Amino acid sequence: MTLVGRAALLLAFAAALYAVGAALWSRRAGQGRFLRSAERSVWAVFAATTTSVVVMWTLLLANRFDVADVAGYSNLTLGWRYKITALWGSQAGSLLLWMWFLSIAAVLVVVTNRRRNRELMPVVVAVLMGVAVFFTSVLSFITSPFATVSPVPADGRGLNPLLQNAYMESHPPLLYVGYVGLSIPFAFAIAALVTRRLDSTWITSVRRWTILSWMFLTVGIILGSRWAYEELGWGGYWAWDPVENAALMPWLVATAFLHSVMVQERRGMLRIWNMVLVVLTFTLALFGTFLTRSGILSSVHAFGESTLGPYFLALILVVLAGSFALLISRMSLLRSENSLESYISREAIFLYNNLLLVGLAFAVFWGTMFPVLSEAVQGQKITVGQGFFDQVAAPIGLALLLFTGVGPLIPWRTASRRQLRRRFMWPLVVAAIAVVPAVFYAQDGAHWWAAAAIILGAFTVACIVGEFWRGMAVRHQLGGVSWPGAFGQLFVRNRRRYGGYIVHLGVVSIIVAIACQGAFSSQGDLALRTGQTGEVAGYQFTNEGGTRSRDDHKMSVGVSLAVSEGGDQFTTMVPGVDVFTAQMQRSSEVAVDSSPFRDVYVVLVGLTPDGLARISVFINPMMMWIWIGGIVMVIGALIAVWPGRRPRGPAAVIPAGADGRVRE
Amino acid sequence: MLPSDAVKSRSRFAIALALAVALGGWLIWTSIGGSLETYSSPSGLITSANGTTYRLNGTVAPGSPANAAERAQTAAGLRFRVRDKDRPAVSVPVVYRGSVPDAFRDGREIVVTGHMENGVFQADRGTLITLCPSKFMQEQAEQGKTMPGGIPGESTGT
Repeated sequence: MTLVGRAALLLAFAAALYAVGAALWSRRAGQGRFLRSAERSVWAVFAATTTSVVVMWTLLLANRFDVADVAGYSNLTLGWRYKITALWGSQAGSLLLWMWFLSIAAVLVVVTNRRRNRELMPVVVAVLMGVAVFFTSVLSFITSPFATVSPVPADGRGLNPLLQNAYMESHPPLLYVGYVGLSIPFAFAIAALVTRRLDSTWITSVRRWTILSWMFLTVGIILGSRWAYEELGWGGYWAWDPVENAALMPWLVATAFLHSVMVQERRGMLRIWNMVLVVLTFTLALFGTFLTRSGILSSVHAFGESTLGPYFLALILVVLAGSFALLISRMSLLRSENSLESYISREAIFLYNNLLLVGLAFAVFWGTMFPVLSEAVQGQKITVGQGFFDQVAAPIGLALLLFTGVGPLIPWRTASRRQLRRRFMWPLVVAAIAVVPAVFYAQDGAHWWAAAAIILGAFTVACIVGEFWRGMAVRHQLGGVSWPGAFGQLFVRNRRRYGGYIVHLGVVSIIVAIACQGAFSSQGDLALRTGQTGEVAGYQFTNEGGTRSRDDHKMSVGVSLAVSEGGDQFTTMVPGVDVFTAQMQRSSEVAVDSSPFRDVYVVLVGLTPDGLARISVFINPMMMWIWIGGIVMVIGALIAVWPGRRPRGPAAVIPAGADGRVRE
Repeated sequence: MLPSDAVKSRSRFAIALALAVALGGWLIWTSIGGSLETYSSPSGLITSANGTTYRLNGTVAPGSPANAAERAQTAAGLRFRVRDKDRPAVSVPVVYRGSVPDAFRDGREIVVTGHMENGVFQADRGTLITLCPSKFMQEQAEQGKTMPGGIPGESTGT
């Protein structure tokens, strides 16, 4: 069985290698038929990788503890769902998952480009399969998921209890789909550079891919923080940990790319910049995998030191050096078609937003890598505390929030005063109204940036609502469409624009919630005997008695707490602790009572046999809006990529702008 | 567009860009100053001066209290020793208050932020993190015990 898996991976490696060769060969005059051959071997890579994934799952389900990764990450009592999940518990397994997603993505690219982009495809296939060569060789020759152990253990070590929940079932694969998806814009960008076809074709071809990958990254990051919030029991959701930063950096640069692409489509500007962003995004996706797998930084997610670091570093360097050398050699072809006419124009705002996003990504990179750099330079490992990240992210986040509101209301090229006054009057009125509660809550001035987030959030929402209003009014008055009909038509006619606005609403929700949580959360510890009551931030907690139970897997303790505010009991919360017997591992089962304005979050720290319960209470304002914002962002992104009526023609070459019907 | 216009726009663009980069650099520079923490092992700490903020890294020395989480909530705090990973003979006493990760126990590798005061490491509230390196995994495997291996999210955040 393991032999089948290994053979399949070797086959995938060989097929990928052949695909690279055949695709490149097909660029020579008269050898065009080799492109089809290369594309067929992409299918072969997919089939072989799928086989090895199926083999791995079979081994996990069959409890084959002679396989190291099965023995290390599964055991007899693990449910079948978590046996499936255990695939990406191990290092080799997670790389196998990466590779599998890559092969799926490559097949989708081949299928959707059977008649389009034929000049680009040889290079696209070569780049994607080049990455596949890297992963399949690592999986075949360096860290195989099918490595065996002897003597064969009677039972496996089991999956970490912290990973046995729905968030961890879904978070790593979603993040990986995002990472892998970003390799496709990269492949098209390289293809455009190599073939000198540097019009907007490559950008329109990968638009959906970029938005979708970005969406998966978003969901992956948000589910990761949700997992941290619910499972780790420290009352927070984000700690600027290297592994979290590893996912955030490509997300930030991809977000910048999504915006600056519009400037290129519309005005033919920022063409070099877009190339740089695509290369950076893909490199950061690889870097993210490198960070989590190399053990170069100590992280709460420490995977342990592995031997993979140098290989990933080499790949990253090759990608960076190759891409930038190619970019420099094509520089003369990438001249801007237009130049910036005004600092108050849509393209200028996009430029500011890009600088902020890339700047933030750079700051996060700097902070994350600081220990490594300082050790190399000074010989002393100096780390950067969370304070650094918070201080940098807060002003940049606020500026981004402002541009989220301002940007869509400012016309391309240049704006007249009259236009600006008309469009910004109502949003400014709303912001002025929002000043009142914001100042009231942030009385002591220490929370100025939470106040600023509330004011800017109100302003931005007003801007977006105004955009919808204008769009609907035009359709209602001129087209005689009913109001709801006009609302629906906005999405049908201009998915990307209005989908984008929905995404912006989600972003506002998240930034405001983060600011409020950061500024107004409170925490308290209580030690309560049965019947005693304690108070944290105006909430009373009464210990109504503890419970203890045990089964085959775990011992559980819990304590029942009556929670009231101002004398009215509104809920009973039961925080607990499980101790898993197999691993002697504690796992806190936090209790959370969510409402739109605040979460009451209770952790049971300990329960003595005589009934003394020690609990930690966190009151987190607005937490729910982080998760709601995430859902809204996904809905918006789905609207933006939803297949609509598109001109379907021979479309081998779409001239720049021909696809730009109503894109403003 | 006239060439002179293009030139003007280009130089203005360069100025705006330089300004933005300078502003960003200043922001990073001023923010980083206040938040530096030197990574250190127990042996590095013992020879060091008082006052500096350190991130102490080592393993929990045997004999840490079983009810660590509860003790860390009391006024007296959780007291334990952190042992040097490379020189097991060297260890440093630590006083800590705040939440204790579920994975905390003897032998577990930890990182905790704080400063030295009269030979005792005074940890900042809620900064205790546990790590799970591969070395420890092997040790455990050799002893025939079981333990969840180096999987993402092995421990809790700060």
